[in-house]
Amino acid sequence: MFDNDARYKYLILPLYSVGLRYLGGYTKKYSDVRYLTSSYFISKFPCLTKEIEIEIPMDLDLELREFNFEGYNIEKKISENTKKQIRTILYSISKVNGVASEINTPNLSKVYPHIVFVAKSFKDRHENKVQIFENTKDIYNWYKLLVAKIKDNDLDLQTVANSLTRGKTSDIEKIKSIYYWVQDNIKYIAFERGIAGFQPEAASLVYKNKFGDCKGMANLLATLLKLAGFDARLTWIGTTDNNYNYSLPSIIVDNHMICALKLNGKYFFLDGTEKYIAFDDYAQRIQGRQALIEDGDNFIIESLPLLPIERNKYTENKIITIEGNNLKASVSETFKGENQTNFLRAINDVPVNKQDKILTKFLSKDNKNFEIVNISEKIFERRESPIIFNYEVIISNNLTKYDKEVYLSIDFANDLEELITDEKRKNAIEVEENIFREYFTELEIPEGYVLKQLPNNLDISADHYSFDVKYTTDGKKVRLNKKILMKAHIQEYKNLTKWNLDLKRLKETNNEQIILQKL
Amino acid sequence: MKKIYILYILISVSFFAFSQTRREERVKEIKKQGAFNLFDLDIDDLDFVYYQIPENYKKEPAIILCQSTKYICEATSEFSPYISRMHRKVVIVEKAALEDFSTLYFDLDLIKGKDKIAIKLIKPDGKQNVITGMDAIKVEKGNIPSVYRSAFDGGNIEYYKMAIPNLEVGDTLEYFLEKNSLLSNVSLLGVSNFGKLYYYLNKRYPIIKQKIEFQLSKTLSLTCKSVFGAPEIKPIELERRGMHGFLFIDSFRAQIEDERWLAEARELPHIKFSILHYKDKVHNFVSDEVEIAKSSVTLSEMKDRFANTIQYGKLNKYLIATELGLMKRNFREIDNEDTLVELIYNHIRSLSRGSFYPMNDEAFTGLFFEALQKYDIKADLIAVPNRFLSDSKNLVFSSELIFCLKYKDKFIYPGQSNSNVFEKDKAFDGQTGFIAIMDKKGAKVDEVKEIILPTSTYSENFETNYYDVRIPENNFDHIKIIDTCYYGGMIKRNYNSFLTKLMELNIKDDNKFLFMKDEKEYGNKLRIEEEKNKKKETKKSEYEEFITELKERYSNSYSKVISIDTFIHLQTGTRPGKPILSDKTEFTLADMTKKVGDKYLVELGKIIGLQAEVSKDERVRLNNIWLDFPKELNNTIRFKIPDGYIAEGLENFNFNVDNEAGKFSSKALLENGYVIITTQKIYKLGFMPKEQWPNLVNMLDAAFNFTQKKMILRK
Repeated sequence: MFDNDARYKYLILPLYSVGLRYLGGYTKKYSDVRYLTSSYFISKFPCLTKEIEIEIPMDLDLELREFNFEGYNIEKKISENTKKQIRTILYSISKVNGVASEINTPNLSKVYPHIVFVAKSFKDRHENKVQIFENTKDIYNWYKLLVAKIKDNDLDLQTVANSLTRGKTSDIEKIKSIYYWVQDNIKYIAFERGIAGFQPEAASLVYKNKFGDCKGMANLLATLLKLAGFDARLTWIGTTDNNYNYSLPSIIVDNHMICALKLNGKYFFLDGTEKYIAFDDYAQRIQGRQALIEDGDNFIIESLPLLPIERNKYTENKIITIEGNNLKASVSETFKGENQTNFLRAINDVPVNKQDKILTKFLSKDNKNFEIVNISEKIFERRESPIIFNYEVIISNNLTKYDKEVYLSIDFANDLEELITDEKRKNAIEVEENIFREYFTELEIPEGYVLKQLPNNLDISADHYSFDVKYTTDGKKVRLNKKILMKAHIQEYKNLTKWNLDLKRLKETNNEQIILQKL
Repeated sequence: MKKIYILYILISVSFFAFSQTRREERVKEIKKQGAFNLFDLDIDDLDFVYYQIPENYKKEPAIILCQSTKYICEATSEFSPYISRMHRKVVIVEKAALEDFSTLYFDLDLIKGKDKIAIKLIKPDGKQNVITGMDAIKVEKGNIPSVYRSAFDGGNIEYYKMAIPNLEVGDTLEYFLEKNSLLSNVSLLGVSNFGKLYYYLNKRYPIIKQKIEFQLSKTLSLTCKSVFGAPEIKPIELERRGMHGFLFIDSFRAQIEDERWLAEARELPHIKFSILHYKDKVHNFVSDEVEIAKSSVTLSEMKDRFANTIQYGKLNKYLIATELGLMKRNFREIDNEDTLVELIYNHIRSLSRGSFYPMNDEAFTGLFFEALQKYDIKADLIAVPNRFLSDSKNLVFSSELIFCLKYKDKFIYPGQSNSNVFEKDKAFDGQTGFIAIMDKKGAKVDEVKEIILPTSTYSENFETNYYDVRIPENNFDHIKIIDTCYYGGMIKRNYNSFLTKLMELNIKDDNKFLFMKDEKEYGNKLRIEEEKNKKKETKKSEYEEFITELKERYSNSYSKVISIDTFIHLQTGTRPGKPILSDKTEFTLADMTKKVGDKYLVELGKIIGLQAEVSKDERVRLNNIWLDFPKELNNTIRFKIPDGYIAEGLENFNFNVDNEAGKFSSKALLENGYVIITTQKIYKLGFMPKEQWPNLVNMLDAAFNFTQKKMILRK
């Protein structure tokens, strides 16, 4: 975020000694009840007792939706004061642990207890009901109102649409031309001050500035596509960062905007903030999520496709020979999906004259023992087909020779090691992206040597992941087929013991060595 | 309730409207005034119009075509305002530079102040867009890219940023910043508000032309020195009466890459300058002839400068009187002068620690000098330029000087937490500087002579680790290590700063050297008990915090630190008789073994911790090598062979590289059920010419390769 209107106040307490107690408080005023969205029962520090008391004027219809209460002892008391015309709801929780700051912790909204405030309506001074957010239609109407207030374009984008589609014969070609142009030429810079957090910037201004936030980019995309004759619409969506859907009439549901395109009766979704993504491909963060698509006075709710795990497939083929004290390998690596877009974003942020250096570092996994040579083709821009790197690598400090034996490893990927958790971990783990890695490795047994021992195979299959490691040999070659699958998911805290055990077994297998014996 | 809401909304809206109006009015005003016309100030400057881009620059993501900085000060007094203007023109060659330039950072105050900004974007077809800076917002947090960082940034400058609309590859971005400040150039204790500026000519992007111009009132002089191939600054004629000027011009500077072990101020072309008022002469080196830029320091000026250091001691006369009284009472029975010097040093060192009387290095030395004089102990004041800022030949700023004392044939450097009286300091090491010869009464500086401080040797700065290593109960997932460590010389100084996190040590030390008695316990039993418990809790939580930080420190050396099990501090090293700091840490590591059938490979080489890896790109060196100091790192690994196993492959651990730059040697042997590996790594000199780089790399490679070696454990 380049800028938003959040302002923080802080107070320094002279906590010079352990055991000191302070009593403090603050008042935060919301000038519009729509922006009062949620309240959590947990925070960074453990808490002996926490109460959330909500005083609701009788003329305000405020629904409280409870999330993730299961497993927590939260008491709820409701009382009414007819004199003051106030209904009070008191939630209390006691002896609750703090949220530890740990890597891969799921977004709080997915796992921790909280309430979401749904301000449905209130009665005005004439006792007439004034609807706020009673249902999704109300949310849509509010969004629509904001869209209608977008200042008029002061620039004719028709010529831009024409120039981008000139010479393109098919609809798909025209759409891609506009979509890719926005990805490549509009920088993500977000000013989200006040209503700008919800109201898209005018398409012409985004075009003129060459920067915008997700809403501005979506608006530019929709405008250009419409000017090119397509049915393109603004679309609100909540990314995988949260767990809500449009059954909840609250602005908390969506945190992102994209553009929906209706073509031959099918909706396609275009996200201008995603760089180097192909048309009809979707970033993991929006896959399977509900989208609120504009449709005049009405709206359409459609879920984005949940793409198969193969979308993120990474493949490595390598043939290894032993040369003296080193290993030499011919390698072919293929990157798809998030692996591909992540790589392209990173490499294109680097000056052209430094890209080779970064690529070498990337392919060597930043391991000084790997010397990368002869990279066949360096592709730094490709959306619609996978990126493939063919190269050779000389690996030092891998072989250990002793007496008549040689010990070596042909598995250099420390797969998923980073997901093994500390014993002290307090939170569940969220794997945000699908992982699919396949390795085909061949080691040529040098003349004068025979295979003495192979590492153990491994076959683990669980709900959200599977690891399959197989070593085979025909006497001349050792072959390793390794397949690592892990779906994006939340691994619950209660399952972490098994999770760690499985990951440790994978690590042990990764670490095991092949033994060759001299004849 | 609703009424309150409405009122609140009204207030918010009106405030919003007010601030909007104010902003809009200011935008109008700026447009009316024509901030854009700032560019007219350089209308005659053809360097912004004509330039030739060398072919090799065209491969860089952006090129600074011209950059001009002007300092204009018509000061009649030291509190007068001055204007600084910066005009920069940059062409964006490729996408990677868009990130740097699509957000413009500056330290101007556009709403309240008189500062101005003018920005224009020039498209490849020559079309120009004018951009107002009024959309700039305050930078709440985050780093300011070096390309925008103010020359005077001491960490306290408020920055603003704005997004540059419609910036594309091929565009030229030209912007002009004008800042109005107060010179306030009264040097209080040597600190000048204008600042001492080290202006490096090589930047992140190549630069075709860069200029700095000074237009100064004749009450102000310029102290300036061009070093390491930077062009000289030249006086220029100014039309305005009472003003004089200087101009610096430099052309065709390539971009710069980072290099490890580089002392920028001792290697890279730069000019250093400061604008000084004649009244500053007491604390700074100021030109006698105002129209000539000051670029060197004489012995006579150093004589005056020393007077300043002596004054530090005098300024603190009340402190000295109190503390001397205390010292006299407590040191009554000490008749050995060396011991007395040490005790006085320790006393002042403890005083200088944050919670008592925080003092800078010069104040420490001044106070120490004064205290020794009161005891009639002979010592000489010495000043040298900080080794990482300048040599004596290029000294121009008073602030580059650091101060120490010569006592008998030894040198005493400013104290640090837990430092030892005769401990060396890297900023002084081997520097040429000045010694003040006092008159017979010891009251005034009689004469100043040159002096060369001794250069430390690697054997003086050492770290020795004894690692007792074992595999716990044949669980090959983990290894347990007891690391008994000894630090000496300047390595100890570095480690001391980390140890200060363990407050308990400081308190113990301070209590001893400041003659403080244990706090009296008061109140009833319950209260005393409560206080005791609180102290215990504080101590415990401090220790736990320290252990967490220690784990992070170890994690920089080992790939997987499971836990720090115990930490014992053995010796602080604050006494000359016991100058070595030592401690013992027990910790557990993972990822140190690999299974090979029924055997194990143990990565014993990794026990000595992570070693510098020299990448392919780094093997070509452009600049000389500036280490903190020469040093020697010794390790002894004592690995207990698990019962039922035999250790093999020890010959892999034998290395020996010994050259002019460094040494790495290691040897492994078997001894009574233990594998004993000893290593010695030496950086022979603190400074080495770049020609020594291949030698140093050979040594570093050997140490790295040692860490890759594995021992075999078989049944």
